[in-house]
Amino acid sequence: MRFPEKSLHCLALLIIVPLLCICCSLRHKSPPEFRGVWLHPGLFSLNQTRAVEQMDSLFSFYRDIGINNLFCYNTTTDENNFQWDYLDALIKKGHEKGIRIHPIFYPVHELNLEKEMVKNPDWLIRDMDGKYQPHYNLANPQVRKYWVGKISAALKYDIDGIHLDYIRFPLTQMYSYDSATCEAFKREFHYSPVEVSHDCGSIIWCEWIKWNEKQVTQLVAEIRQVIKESGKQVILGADVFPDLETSKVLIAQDWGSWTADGLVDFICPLLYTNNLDLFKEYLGRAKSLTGNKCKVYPGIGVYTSNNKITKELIVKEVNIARELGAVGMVFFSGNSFNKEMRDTLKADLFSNVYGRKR
Amino acid sequence: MFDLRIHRDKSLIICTLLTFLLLIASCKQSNHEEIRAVWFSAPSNECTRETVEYIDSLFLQYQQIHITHLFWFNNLKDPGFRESSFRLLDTLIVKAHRRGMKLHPVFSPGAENPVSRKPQIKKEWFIINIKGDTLPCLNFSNNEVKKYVLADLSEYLKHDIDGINLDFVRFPVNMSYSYDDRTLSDFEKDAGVSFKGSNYDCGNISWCEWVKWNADQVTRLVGEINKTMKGHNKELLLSADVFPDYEMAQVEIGQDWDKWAADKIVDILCPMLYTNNSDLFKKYVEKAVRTVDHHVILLPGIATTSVHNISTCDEVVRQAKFCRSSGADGMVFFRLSLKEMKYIERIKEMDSGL
Repeated sequence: MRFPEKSLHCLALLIIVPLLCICCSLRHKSPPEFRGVWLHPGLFSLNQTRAVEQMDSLFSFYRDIGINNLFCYNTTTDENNFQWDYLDALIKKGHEKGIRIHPIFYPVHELNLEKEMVKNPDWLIRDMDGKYQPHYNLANPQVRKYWVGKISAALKYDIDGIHLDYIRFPLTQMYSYDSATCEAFKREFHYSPVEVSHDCGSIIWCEWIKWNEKQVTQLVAEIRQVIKESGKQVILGADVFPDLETSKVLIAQDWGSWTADGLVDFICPLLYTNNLDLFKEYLGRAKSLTGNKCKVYPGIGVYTSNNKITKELIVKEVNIARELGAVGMVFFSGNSFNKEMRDTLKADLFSNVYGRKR
Repeated sequence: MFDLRIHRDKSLIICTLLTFLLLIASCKQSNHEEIRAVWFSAPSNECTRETVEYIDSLFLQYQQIHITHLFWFNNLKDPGFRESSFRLLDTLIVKAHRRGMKLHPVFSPGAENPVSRKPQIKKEWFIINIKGDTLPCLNFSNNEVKKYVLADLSEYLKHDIDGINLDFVRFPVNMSYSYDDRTLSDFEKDAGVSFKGSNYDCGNISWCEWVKWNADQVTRLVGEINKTMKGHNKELLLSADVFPDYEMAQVEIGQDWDKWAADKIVDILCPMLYTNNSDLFKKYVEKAVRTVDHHVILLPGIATTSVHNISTCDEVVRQAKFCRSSGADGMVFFRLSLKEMKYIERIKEMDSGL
């Protein structure tokens, strides 16, 4: 039996046209490229009116160059010197400009030791000599509860995400040897970490490292849970060190398990380097480790203690990220772009907004 | 009635087949040669009558507990004892072979004394740590050190040994890599990056590369040792004593032993799982079995007494039995001397099924 040629053409059209429509609608619905910056509150005046004006101008500028997400440090009243609601102002101005706001929480960031010694000395890391360190001990359940409580309070705002920075132990293997922590470990392993060799020749020491990893992961899980319980569409992201193996062993940051277990929606490996081969290699590794379970937005260092980038390298790193299938990137930090970089982002790299041409 | 008989016949056939299969499986099991090794020391470095007598008695005990490979701690590297130690080596080889056991001198390439009497060892070959202190260990990231180690090894190969047991083939604990100018410059040339002027921590990609590069240097040395040995005699076995967890070992001491297994640059891996906690022992053996994945022979190290543990006889036996059932190829005991006959006796009991 032979079909007339005209009928075949009609049949083909009947198949192709709907397919094209589906493809177009999918393309339209694909999420915008995530373009973030880390933002310090020091950029704004303590005076609310003046600060809001500054936000208006800065966020307009960010919008113009294509930035659509802000990771904001020190947004809670106990973390900044503003006598007004800084987070609320950020959210209002951000949303007005079409920019999403993610307050940052950094559990082991350096603290004012004197102040903390008065407030909560038991929450601090104590080294092997018993000396207090200016960092909270994430193996302490009360410390974790404190951070979950802070995040819970932030969830009352109309935020778009929660962003975790310093979600790890301090450099290098600075775990806490306070009696409560050592006892908690001893209950599981029959030895205190101070009783064994302090190196990876000892199985108990290896377990001590892993146990601290689990404490950090536990906090991430608890944060995930409180976000879930809030019922809000708030995404959870985390800044992570570039290399999973060294991160696990040296700062107890097992971001491989966070992504595998769906504890975070995205990670930002801090790939602050001017070396394009290394940038590509480490981003590729993070992408293949996480697979489709979690998004990877590389942290591109503009001006950091590890690198000072050029306009040309920004272009190359953004293009590498896109080639490797990262659907976003974040720049450190928001106030480090020079005019050349801003122009490049606006005119070239981010000339299409949210994946569509302006 | 008829149907019942058919069913009965079928059952009989199935039972016979199953019995036959079980028999084959058990024969296969008993044919599988378990490798049992032991680290041991002689009472002195001299080939004296007392030493030889001790060794005779010790090897007899080892033979009775089915030890197949002997890893001998020695003073072969010490210039003061070198000649007599090599004489003792030859005696040990003869005595081991007579009892059907293989002898592997332990070779510790990293451990050297900075005030060593060896004229060929240069001052700049020692590790200079991040604080600027010189450590009593050779820096494997220095190519001259690698050459020296291979030359040193060639002395061992002149004897009728069955293999080499590499110990201390790593950097010293707690990330004691060498930050001397030459090593840093070699790293920059090799890796094409530098971390000078930036952070010396794992937040810095270049520093992460530094950690990996140092591990690669140890891997290169192990590969070259293997090549040298196999070039001399391809029957020689290269075994390596490694830290319990490869993920930590590669970062903290530059010992990337999962790669050694994958690349088959050693024949035997001996993770030193010294603990009196059975659950942890099992956990680490299982991880090692998964890691090594039968690429090379896996002999988990069981310590009777070490800096990490003092185990009871029952514990040692429990761990040995677990090695058998876990998929490892055997075990290596640290250490069994005539002073610790209770362990030897208990292993004999285990073997006799008691």
